[in-house]
Amino acid sequence: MFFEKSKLYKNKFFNSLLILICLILIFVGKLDLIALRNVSSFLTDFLSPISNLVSKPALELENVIKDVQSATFLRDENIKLKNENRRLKIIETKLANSESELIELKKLLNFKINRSKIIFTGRVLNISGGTFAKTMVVNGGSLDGIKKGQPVISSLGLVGSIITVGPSSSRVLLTIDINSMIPSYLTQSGWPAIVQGENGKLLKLRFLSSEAKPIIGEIIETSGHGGIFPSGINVGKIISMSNGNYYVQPLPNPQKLRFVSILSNLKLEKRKKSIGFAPLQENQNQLNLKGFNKFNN
Amino acid sequence: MEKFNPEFFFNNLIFTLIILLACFLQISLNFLSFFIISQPYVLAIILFLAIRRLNFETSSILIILYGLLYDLITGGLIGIHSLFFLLLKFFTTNLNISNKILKKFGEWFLFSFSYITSLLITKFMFLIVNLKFPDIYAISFNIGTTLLIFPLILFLIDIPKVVFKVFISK
Repeated sequence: MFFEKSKLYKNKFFNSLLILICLILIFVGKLDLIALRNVSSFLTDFLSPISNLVSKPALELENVIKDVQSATFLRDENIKLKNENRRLKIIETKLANSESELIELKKLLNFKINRSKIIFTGRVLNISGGTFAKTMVVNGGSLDGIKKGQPVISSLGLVGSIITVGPSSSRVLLTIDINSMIPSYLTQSGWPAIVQGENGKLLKLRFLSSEAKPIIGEIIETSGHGGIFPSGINVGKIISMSNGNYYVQPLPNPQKLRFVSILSNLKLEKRKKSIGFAPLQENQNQLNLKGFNKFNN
Repeated sequence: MEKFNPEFFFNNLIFTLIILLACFLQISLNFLSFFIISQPYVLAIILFLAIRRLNFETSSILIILYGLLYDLITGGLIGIHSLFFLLLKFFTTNLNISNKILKKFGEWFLFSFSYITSLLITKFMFLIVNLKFPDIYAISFNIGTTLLIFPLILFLIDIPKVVFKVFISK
C-alpha cells in the first residue's frame, strides 16, 4: 500500500516536472536564440526533400480536385471570363493614358523610386499550417543570395518575409501568421495602418486612426515604413468589418502558391550585421544628440 | 548496469517511425485547399492511437522530443507541441476520469476530451507568450475537422482487422 502510494506521488512529481520543462522550453523558444534558429534551418534543409516527397500525394489529390472542379464549372467560367475580358479591355485603355501621364510627371519632378530587385524565384517545398504557426519552405537559401528579413512576393502580392535561411532552403513567415505585422496604407482613403496576421484565413487592420473610414473592397498596400517591405506591394483587400475591426483578405492564397519570388532589401543590407538576439542599438562613435548631430556633420 | 532490452528499443523505434511519418503527413495536408482555414490534427489522432493501442507505455521524454522536432521542422514556437503532446498523453492515460470516459462512452469521446482539453491549455499558454488573440474560427475549424476525421482514421486502421476476421478466420 505504502509503496503504491509513493509510486503514485513519484509519477505525479515526474509528470509535473515534464510539464515544467515544456513551459521552460516555450519561454526559451520565445527568446529566438541564434543556436535554435541554426538548428531549425539545418533541419529544414535536411528534411525538406523528404517532406517534399511525402507532400506529393496531397499535391496530386489537390490537382485532381481542381481538374474535376474546373470541368464541372467550365461553361459558367467561360461566360465569366468573357465578361471579365471586356471589362479589362476598357480598363487597359484608361490605364495606358494614365501611365503615360504619370511617367511624364515623374520626369518633370525628378522623382526617384526605390526599386527592389528580384534575387531569386523558387518553388514552394511545403507549407506548415496548423493552429500555432503559418510558414512555408522555399527551395533557395544562402547559396542563392537569400538573407533573413527579405520580402517574399507572388504574382498577386505580398506572401511574407524570410525568417530562417539554410544553405539550400529558407523559411518564410506568412502574412497570416500571428507574429506577422506589416506597415501598410489604404489605397483609396490613404490612411496608414498595421496589418496583422491571426493564424487564420484573414488579416486584421490595427492601429488605424479613429478618423479613418475604410471602404469595403479597398486595396491595402505596403507603406514601406520600417524599411523591411518596399512600398507599393499588394497585401490584400478589406472584406468585412465587425465590432469596429476591419478584416483583410490576403491576395495570394498560400495553399495555392507553387512559386514565389524573393526581393532584395536595400535598407537591411546597409545595416551592419548584429551580434546576439536582443534588439540592441549599434555602438556609435559620437554622442547621440537628436537634432544636433545632423548639423555637426 | 542495466542490460540492453531489444524489445524496448524495437517498440520505441516503431513508435518513432509512426510519429515521423505522421509529422510529414500533417505538413502535406496544407496543400489541400478544402481545409481552407486550418488543417485537422492528424498527428494528434495518430499519437493518441499509438499511445492507446501499442502494447507498451510510450516514453514521455520521447514525446517531448518529437514535439520539439515538429516545432523545429514547422518553424513554430519551440516547445509548444511538446507541451501539447505531453498533455494529450497525460489526459489519455494518467487520469482516473479518462478510464471512466473510455468505459462509459468509448474511444471517440476520450479522444475528444483529451484533445480539446490539451489544445485549449496549450492555446492559453500560446496566448500568454504572444500576448495576441488567435483567430477563434481557425481553432474551432481545427477542432471540428479533427473530431470528424478521427472515426475515419479509426475505420481505416481497423480495415485489416475486419478483413482478417471475415476472410482468413473462416
